[in-house]
Amino acid sequence: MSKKRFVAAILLSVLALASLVGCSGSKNQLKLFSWDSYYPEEVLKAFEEEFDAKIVYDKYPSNEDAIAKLRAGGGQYDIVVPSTYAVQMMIKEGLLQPIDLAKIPNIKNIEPEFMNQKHDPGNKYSAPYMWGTYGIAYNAKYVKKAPEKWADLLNPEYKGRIVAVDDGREVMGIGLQALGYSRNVTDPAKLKEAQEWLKPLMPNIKAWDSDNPKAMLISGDAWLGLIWNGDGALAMNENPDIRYVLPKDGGGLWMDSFVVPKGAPNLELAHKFIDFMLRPEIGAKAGVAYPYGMANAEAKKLLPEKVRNNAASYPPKESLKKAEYVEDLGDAAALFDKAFTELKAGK
Amino acid sequence: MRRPLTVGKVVLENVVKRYGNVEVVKDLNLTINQGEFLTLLGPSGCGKTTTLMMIAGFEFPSAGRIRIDGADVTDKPPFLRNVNTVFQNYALFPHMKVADNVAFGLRTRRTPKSEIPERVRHALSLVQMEEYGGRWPRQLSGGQQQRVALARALVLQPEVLLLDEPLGALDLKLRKEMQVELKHLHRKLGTTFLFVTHDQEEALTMSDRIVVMNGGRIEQIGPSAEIYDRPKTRFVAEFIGETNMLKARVLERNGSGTLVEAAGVRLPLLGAAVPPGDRVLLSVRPERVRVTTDPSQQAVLARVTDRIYVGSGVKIIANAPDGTTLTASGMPGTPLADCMPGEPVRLTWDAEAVVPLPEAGEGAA
Amino acid sequence: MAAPLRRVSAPPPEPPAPITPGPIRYLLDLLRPRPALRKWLMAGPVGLWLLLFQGVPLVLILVMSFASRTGTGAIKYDFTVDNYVRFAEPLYLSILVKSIAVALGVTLIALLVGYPLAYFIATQPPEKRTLWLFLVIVPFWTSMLIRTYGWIFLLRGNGLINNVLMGLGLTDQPLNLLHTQGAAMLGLVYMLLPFMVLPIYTSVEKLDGSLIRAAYDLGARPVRTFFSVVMPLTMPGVAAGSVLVMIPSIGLFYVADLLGGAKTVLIGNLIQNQFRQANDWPFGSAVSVILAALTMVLIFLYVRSGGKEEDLL
Repeated sequence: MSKKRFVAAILLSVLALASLVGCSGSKNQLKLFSWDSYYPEEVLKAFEEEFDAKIVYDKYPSNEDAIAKLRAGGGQYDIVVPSTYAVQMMIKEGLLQPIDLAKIPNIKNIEPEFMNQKHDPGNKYSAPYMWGTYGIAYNAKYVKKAPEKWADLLNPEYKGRIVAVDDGREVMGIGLQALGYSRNVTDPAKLKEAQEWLKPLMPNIKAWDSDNPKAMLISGDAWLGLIWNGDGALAMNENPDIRYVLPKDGGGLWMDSFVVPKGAPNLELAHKFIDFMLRPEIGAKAGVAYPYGMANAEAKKLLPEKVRNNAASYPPKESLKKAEYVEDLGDAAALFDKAFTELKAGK
Repeated sequence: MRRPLTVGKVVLENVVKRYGNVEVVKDLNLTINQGEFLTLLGPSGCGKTTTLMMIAGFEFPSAGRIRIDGADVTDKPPFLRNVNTVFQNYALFPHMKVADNVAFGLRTRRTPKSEIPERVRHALSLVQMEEYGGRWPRQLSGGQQQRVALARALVLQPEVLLLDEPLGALDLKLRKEMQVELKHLHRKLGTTFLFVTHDQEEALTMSDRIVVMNGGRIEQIGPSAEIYDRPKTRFVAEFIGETNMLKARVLERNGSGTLVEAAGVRLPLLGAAVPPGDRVLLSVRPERVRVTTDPSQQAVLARVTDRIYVGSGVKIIANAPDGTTLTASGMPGTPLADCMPGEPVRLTWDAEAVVPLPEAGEGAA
Repeated sequence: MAAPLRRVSAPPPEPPAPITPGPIRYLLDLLRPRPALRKWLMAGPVGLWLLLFQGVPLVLILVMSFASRTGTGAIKYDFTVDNYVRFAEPLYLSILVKSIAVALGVTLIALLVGYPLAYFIATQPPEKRTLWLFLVIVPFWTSMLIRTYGWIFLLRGNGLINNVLMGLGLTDQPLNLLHTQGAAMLGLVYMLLPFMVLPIYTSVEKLDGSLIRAAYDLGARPVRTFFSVVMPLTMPGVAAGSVLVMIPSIGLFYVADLLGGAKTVLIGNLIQNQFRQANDWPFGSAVSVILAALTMVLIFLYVRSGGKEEDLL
């Protein structure tokens, strides 16, 4: 998931807060706290009309910001849409309340492979919305041989030609997976090994850019990108030379799910919103508007073929075999951060 | 280079300085002699400072040449001229101690290091500031700063020392002391001094020669006494000291002189070649005006309006019947000193005390 | 003619018309016998503002820097100095050293560029000076972030500079300008240059022109005059400008990130990373406190070496 610009988010939150003051009396109000650019305007409108509700939409640029805000008790939101490891952290910290799947009949539309995952066994707290991957985008004009495994990135020909999202977990995951480990290990020795593996990758990095990595790919400044699939799909639309692949030895997975924070003021409406979003025709609208994978099998069926066949949004099933979610690793998170900082500082 | 026939230390030939359309110095010709103390005197805006700045090299003439010691320096920057300046505000370097200020010029001229301390000490001793070498300029009084500025300029043994109203910021008593001291220094060193001031008394006290300037032109050049006693223009007469300016009409000429009428009285005038019927101005210094009781003497009958005690004597102001105001000054004990306001008085002067001037304000020279 | 003596005495000057007292003024006048209270009242609103928006967050950061983080990243308020101990690791010390080195480099370049510019402006005729100063200040009206993006458009592979160079046939491959250490330095110098120019301008403008004349008069050529008179006397401006450039250049992480490609971790990046990614607010706070302390040491050194705090404002 591309992290949106911090400043913009703050501005929007201020605006949202201001509008919130104007309608705080309304009983049927849904307070949505989510990523920017994730819900088509018409979808939100349709919900408001059908349920005679008013949606207040606050945005966050990163999972960390979302957790921090919930932790601080701010906002009193009905719905939040964090990624897997963030769901895990929120559960651990007791920030969420269980959802009642009986009130969300459309949960049956979700593909089974996205249900009952490690971050929330039995889906007690979360209902999947969209998913995606972390892999390699490349410009076929410059990269003649498609990268197949992480080690292909170490090619000295790519010196100063790779743009990568500035995310320690994903980058350390490359080294770990290349060595045959899980990207969620907590063993310091294995992390050290991964760090050593990644050292020769550093000269190939042209820039760390989480805001808009696709720009450098599209312009040709970068030949390869270690990015999330959403950016990959958008880059492919802009520049037909760009491809997106998951390496055979791994890759990253992410998935955002609807959760209900503790103290949500409108529990009833929150369930209605989740169920509404999981309707096939509603999900399909979102799936067309945004370049991410729909976890909703029924919705996916309704997507135009062109969207369904986009290799960045829907990579081939077999390539996903070794792809892994980022899990919450507790205290070990600090090890990842330190290792990544050392890599960047040239240690 | 052809050396000009005049052996002036500094020669200005047809020098003009313009700022935009304004001519502040107009066709100036001046020769400063070796070793003399020459003063440029005039009201502010007369072009005297601009002239000094052109000699120093901070301003460049719009036309004309400047020579120092025969060499044409017209286009040379200040750091290539062997003249030094004492600035009105002293311009001591605030970040250097007194000794370093004085040594600055020696260092830029690559004086051998071993010589510098002795020359600095000597220069400071010339201005009685030997003790102050280790002080900062801000720790000194105005007079002391002035002395340091002098030492800083003199240490380089310049061909010409330029002094730009150097005493203007000092109080009266200090100024008088510094005047005497500067005069001493001049005599002792024999350096050519070019002094700029608007203070006529200062100019008279110190100078060998005075150049009176007005409106960018030279009104008169001459020794102090000549400037005072024989002004050539009304401007000079009025600017230097006090004077009585009488309007006169020429009555007749005879063998010994001219007879004129002024303030209702007929007066003889020596030496002036003015045709009868013309109007002239007569300048008579107040100290040359006497009170007479001798009825046979030609005198202006006037009435005393004011009597002013000036310490060294008394000044009276009197009105003649035709409206002319006359000022006379005298020592205590003279008849003049006893006059009281309201009293009638007969005022007279010697024929040689009268300086005839053309009636128009300019063009005497 | 002797000036007629005048004995006319001027009438005594009229007392200035009393200013109609506003209500606040009136209240303050009431408090005149109690100057201490009056002073506090006048400083009150500013003080309150500072306390609320500067003091309170600073104290929060300080408190948090002695806390620790739980497994999920929540903050546990147990008193510990671990965060500071952790900063003493070679990794973080090297980041600090690198940050200081970059800041020094930026300051030096800004000085080399800013001094001539400030000198040039200060020696212009007064009416032109205003225009030049205006041109120096005008970029401040746009957000730094937006100006950073402006540089990206100029420097990137298919950006303006490369297009012009290739259009002129000076190069056939786009030059690698963006995402280099040089681009990051350029961006920082560009952003901070006015902070260097303005104080130097002020001190050059204050410089007494007769001192330069005196130096020339004493035989010093322009170069010598500059180094022995102009430079030493404008040192207050140079010192103030250097402090003003150096302090923010340590902290402006996003300029270095966007133009330098985030490839070197500076202390500002380290801090923002702790808050925005690593979820380690206590450590981030500790680094912030260290940075703030460093800044204060810098200002302390500046003041002790004779600098004036006013010049920094």
